[in-house]
Amino acid sequence: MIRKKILLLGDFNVGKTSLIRRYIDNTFDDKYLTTIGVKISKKFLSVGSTECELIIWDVEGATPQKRIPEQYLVGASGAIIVADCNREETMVNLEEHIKRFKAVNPNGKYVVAYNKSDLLTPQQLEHFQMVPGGVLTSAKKGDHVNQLFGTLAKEILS
Amino acid sequence: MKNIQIILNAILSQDVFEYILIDRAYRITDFSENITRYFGKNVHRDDDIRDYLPEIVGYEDRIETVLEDEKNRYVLETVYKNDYYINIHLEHYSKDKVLILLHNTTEITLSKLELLQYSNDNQLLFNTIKKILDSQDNLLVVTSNNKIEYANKKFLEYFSLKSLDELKERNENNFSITSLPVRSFDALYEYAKEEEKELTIGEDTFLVKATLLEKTYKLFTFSKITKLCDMNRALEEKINRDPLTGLYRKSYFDEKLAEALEYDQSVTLVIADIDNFKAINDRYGHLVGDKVLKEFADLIGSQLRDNDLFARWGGEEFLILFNCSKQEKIVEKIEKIREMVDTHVFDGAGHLTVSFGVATSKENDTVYSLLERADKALYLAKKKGKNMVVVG
Repeated sequence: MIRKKILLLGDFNVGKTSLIRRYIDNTFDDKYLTTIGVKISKKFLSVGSTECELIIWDVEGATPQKRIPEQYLVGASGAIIVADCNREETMVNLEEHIKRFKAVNPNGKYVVAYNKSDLLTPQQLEHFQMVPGGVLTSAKKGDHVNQLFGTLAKEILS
Repeated sequence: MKNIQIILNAILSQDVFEYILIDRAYRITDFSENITRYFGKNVHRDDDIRDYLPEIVGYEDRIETVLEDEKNRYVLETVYKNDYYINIHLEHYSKDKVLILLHNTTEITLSKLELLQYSNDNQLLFNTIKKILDSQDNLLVVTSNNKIEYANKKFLEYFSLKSLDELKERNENNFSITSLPVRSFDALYEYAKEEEKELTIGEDTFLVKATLLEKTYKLFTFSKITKLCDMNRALEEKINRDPLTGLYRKSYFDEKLAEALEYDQSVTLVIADIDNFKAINDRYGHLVGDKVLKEFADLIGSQLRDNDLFARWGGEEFLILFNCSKQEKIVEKIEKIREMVDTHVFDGAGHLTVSFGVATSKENDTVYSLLERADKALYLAKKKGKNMVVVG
């Protein structure tokens, strides 16, 4: 069995825990509960004929006062870098998260998620500016969450 | 080996650490009995540690270095497992085994979590409030001793300031850098504390309002109304101008004349009437008549100064207001204008003449009395044979 460590990185309150909860348990809770440290979840999936167990690290959100400890980043094959598509500063900080992830894992793959897309109007959705390959997700409604994890898994296993 | 066992027993007795020993193949060789509380299931020897601690996945390289050298050790802090927060220590045990110590930090981590939750909630609230403030008009908060405490994004942007610190660094005479045309914040407060007042900064017009916050701070709100003022001015111009000639209308002229008389300014009023204009309309048509009126207005206008007020009364009658009581000089000027018209060839109509009535203001004059004298003088000019200037 192939096991791959993947990380969810991003500013605090962008919905990293909610994305994982939606992906693993297909549930959602509106209440914001800060994550401290790291919590690991596992998920089996098949990509073509390859079976894989994703070891998903729900890492606490970065704050202006605190960066993510490097020990969490070590040995990751991939990362989902998450921003809140309604909070400009979280999108500005995407670059910093990507840079940090790639510094520790130069061969690591990543996908950018713009979460909380359920709060955007149809017009805003239509004209939303993303980095290439970015995915607009809604952990609340479940939009594109499986696609997000699936895309990263394919990238890692390719 | 014996020493480690003693140490392990000592720390296990405090219920703070649990341990697992693994071999090079990640198989569990030994473990402490309470270890199951972190996994929620029973642990068996020879099981793969990664089934219990998937946190190890990705750490294979580090485990190798721990096996090789007893100085190497790694700690993975604050890992949430089965309702516990633990630190996972990877320690060298022997060339073939790695000791994994699980350090229970639940109590202290929950306290940290409470603080972090509080801090993050406040940060979110702060960010929201900041966004609200930044989306408002220019805001400036000043302390009672006139030090700048806060300025929102729009204020900083307007005055090309990079940061609030840049603004705060300045002393009390901040105005020199902000270009605010006021002597002091106290003066600005007195000016705008009762109601919104207009304030011109550079080429922009603002409505400024001062509010006292908790006795200590003065809040100044600057609402930019330049666009509105420009629109109002454009609208006013449209209302006050005659569409054919572009000259002011009689109503505007009367207003300005009344103001001048009210402030006892000496003025001279001139009424001009194109002679036999009806014949031009009858002979060449109204379109040519309109062109003549426009050409006439341009011709006279070119001879006047910016502060002379030139208006169309209606039809072929025009008004000029000079802010000057030296009647002789004005009559001289009007005479020259009359001669110029007399020699001018109007497009489509040829030769024309014009008659003028002139009157200079006296004490207690009204718009009506002054206009009446100038009109009587014009009447005389017409009666005496036209194409002349008569003073009333």
